[in-house]
Amino acid sequence: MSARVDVTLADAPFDPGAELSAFCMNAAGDGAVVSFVGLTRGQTGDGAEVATLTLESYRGVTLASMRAIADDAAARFAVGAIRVIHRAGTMQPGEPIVFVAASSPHRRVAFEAADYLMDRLKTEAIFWKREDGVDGARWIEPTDDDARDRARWE
Amino acid sequence: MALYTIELCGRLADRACAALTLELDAASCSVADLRAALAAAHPSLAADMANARVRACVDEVIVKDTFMVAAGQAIAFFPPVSGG
Repeated sequence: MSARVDVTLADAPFDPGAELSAFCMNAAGDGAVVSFVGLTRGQTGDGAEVATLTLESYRGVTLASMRAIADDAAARFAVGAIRVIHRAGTMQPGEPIVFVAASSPHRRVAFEAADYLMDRLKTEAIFWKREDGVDGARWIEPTDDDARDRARWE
Repeated sequence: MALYTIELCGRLADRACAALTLELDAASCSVADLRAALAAAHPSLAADMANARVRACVDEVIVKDTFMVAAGQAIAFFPPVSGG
């Protein structure tokens, strides 16, 4: 049985609670749903205040990269459904930036699929992230920790 | 002369501008040639053009340095990406 995969590149704020409710309604029969929500931080790693976060994307390549990651997760794990939403554009601190959910008959599989989706989205989805604060703008690149997290799935 | 339009994504746009044009003699060239021409025309991009982690994208497909690109195709350079 092939999993249902639904991927959205959102250029406006979305409601993760509503997305989770909708996902659960469609996941009936699987028994386990795991979701993750990433929120825009109000501070940088060194404590400076962030006014806005901007995620740049590129034409069809960004959505295609998200789809490829979601399809890989569906092929790798025994999941019934996968949902991925990623924001693009300019966000305020506290706004949801990413939402992933996976359903499965077994909870550990759902946890793993969500974990895998996030590790790959962090390092491979085609986005460029810029923090704008009072001290100016700063581009964020994946950290060594992000690369190590990604490497766990090799 | 052939005109190549190149988009620069993420932090690369800070080093030059978001889109620039390059005039070359040949109507097609490899991505490696394009990197060299771009580095020569815009020295601020030289380090990134020599960086293998900066990838080329032609008509919405990420390509290798040996890929032959024609003037008029949608060319972009991607610095390392960061989602989530």
